[in-house]
Amino acid sequence: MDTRITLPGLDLKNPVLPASGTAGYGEELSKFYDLNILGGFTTKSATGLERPGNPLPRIADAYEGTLNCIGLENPGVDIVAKKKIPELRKTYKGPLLVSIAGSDEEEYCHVMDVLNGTEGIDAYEINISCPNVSKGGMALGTDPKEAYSITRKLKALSRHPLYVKLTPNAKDIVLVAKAVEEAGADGIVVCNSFQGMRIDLRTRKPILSRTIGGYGGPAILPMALKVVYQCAKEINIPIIGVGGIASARDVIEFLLAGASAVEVGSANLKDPYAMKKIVEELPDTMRRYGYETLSTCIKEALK
Amino acid sequence: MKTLELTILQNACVAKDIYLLRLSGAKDIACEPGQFASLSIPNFFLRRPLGIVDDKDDVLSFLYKVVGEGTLALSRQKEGEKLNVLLPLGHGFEERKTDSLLVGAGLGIAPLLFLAKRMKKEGKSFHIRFAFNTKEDIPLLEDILSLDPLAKIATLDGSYGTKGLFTDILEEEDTRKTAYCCGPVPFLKACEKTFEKGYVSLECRMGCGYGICNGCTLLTPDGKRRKICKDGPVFAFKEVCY
Repeated sequence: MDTRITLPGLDLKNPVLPASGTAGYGEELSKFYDLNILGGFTTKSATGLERPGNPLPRIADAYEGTLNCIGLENPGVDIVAKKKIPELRKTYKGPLLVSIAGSDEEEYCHVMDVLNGTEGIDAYEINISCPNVSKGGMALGTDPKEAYSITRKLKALSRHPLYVKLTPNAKDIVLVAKAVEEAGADGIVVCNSFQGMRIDLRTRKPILSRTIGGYGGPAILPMALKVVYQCAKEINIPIIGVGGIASARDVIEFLLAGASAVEVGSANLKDPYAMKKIVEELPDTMRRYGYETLSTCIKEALK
Repeated sequence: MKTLELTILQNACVAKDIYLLRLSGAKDIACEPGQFASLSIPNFFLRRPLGIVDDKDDVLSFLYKVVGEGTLALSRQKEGEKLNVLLPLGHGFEERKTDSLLVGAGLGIAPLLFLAKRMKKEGKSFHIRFAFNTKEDIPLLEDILSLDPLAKIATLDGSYGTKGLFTDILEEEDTRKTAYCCGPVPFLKACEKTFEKGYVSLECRMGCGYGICNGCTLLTPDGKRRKICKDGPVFAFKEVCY
């Protein structure tokens, strides 16, 4: 069984990566298994300065998924560049996608500038889709013009291929996908979480401190798959699919819909071994459905 | 840390809305008092973090309160059924000082009972000071009294022990002893004001329970980030702002 996938800057031995923010910088997951079995690794987003994120509660259980408003908590790009990436690189040798976030174009450019001087990075994921910050984040990913502008600036500055992570909360995500393709993105990551909320029946108040958060997990799989499919029909750069993936069959489904690789998110919160299990069951699942080479099934459902 | 399929030996109501859950099959798992486990409940996505009350041979015990749909579903799980458990998680009461106080309110007594058992084994003395709303809320009263026959218990309505709050059952020298505290946030804040030194065990809504999701981060007074699940749930007084 051939599970290899080749993308700009990323030679993946299988299409499975963690979604940004659901695997930190690898230090916790590596206590459960060797991260080198993964196709690649995506880091938690780095911003210009350290951020504490939003007040608690900022995570809640939801039907077949989770609702969160973490708010880009991270130690800041200097620590990420000097400590987190070198620490991860001591044990993890595979493809590394580093996620960048910020409040405005200037902050994104500063973060990239610092990371450009750091060894061990293979590609950048540009997070213009975080639903849980008041400035930047999703605001940049819902407007095709803003998305075009920031992608173009970062592409000119970047030492590595650029994957732009989009939000399904845009009015028309396909227009945003086209805009970032035109601006020179090497690929897109589709998609971040869907906005949602829950209310606590005891307190009679919203559970999350920000009321509204991002809903991810198996519940959103059909919606995320639809977005991947719609984008795949309209753009020619590769797509990394995200949204509720929890099994090897889900991975293949996303590939058929037009993704070239996938990111696993909420499943890591439920089970630390989630990605290991997916990688291990991939060859058997391929055999069961008669697939020999995974790369050939990309976009097959579009034909 | 690992995930195990454990078998329910007992899942019984031992006080109002409070259940004692005993799981077997936890071989070669060493748990420290104050550590917790995260249980996967059928038909719920996220695991539920529960404080460990006892760790004897291959049997782990937990106390939990039915507060929402997840814990209600857990209370309906039957003996013999299996649960997937991630454990042991976090850092517990690592410094255990002799002649210390175990100060708990409500279900907050759960990790303190485990601590009491461990300290007894280690030959260290301790004094129990537990507070509840009413007599019906007190789980495992016999265990409490066998661990410390001089245990002092307060109830808000006076239905058991002294009528009042935990501050009404303290002896004069108590405030100078090291206090290991667990209970609701207002109670813990009062503990930090009452006792000169000690530790608090915190509880919150958690995502992963092992440090990857950043769902439970608090700040230290000087702005450093601490995860309740990974760096806690036990913190020294004044270590984190909550």
